[in-house]
Amino acid sequence: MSQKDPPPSSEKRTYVIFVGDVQEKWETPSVLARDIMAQAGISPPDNLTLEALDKHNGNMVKEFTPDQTVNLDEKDRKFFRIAPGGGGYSFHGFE
Amino acid sequence: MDLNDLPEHFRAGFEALKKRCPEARVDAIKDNFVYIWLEPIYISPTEFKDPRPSGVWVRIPIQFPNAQPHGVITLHPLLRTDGRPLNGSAGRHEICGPVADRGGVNYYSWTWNGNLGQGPALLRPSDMAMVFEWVERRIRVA
Repeated sequence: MSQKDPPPSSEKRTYVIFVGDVQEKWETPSVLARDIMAQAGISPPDNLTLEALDKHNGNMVKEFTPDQTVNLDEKDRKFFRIAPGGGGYSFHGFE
Repeated sequence: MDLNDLPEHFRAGFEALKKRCPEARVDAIKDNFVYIWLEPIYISPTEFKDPRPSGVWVRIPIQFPNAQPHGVITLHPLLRTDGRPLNGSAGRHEICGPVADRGGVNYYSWTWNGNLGQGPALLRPSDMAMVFEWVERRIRVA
């Protein structure tokens, strides 16, 4: 390390993530799901969820409601998609 | 199945769904519902037993987005690894009829809104693309 380099503890990490094909950059590892969704153009995120994927357009590994915090330091927190929340069922095919 | 039998707004929605799921295809129309095959659908191997279907049919109303998707049909019954039953499972329901000859014999009467909360508002034909994620999530949380 040269004298011009700041010590590692002061280095800022940038977290580059993708919501679908939309790239986002965050300077902190803890981000509200609704903020990630907002930066992807979805605001307010009414009745939607944020899903963390194992790869780009991959499989869902964890679901976040808008008010949950996403830790971008964790495994599989680089690729996301937005999915409909809610839902129900009926037994006879008609609501 | 001739897509030209469907109204323009539905065809526009289906095009949006095809962008999300290129293998999507219309297999049947009955009682104001279009039976659309979606593949591949991800069903977790840790949460569901084999054989896990690689695709499913979803029923989308011709009036979409003014009416909501209702129901999923599978080739194989969906069986959780922990043995918990799936809400809305209706087995060999007559609603499977239009795709029964293709092996669709397990009906899940899942709805856009209900005990899990409201789904997002459906405002435009292109919102049909959301149906793909809805199906995968609906299986997971049933």
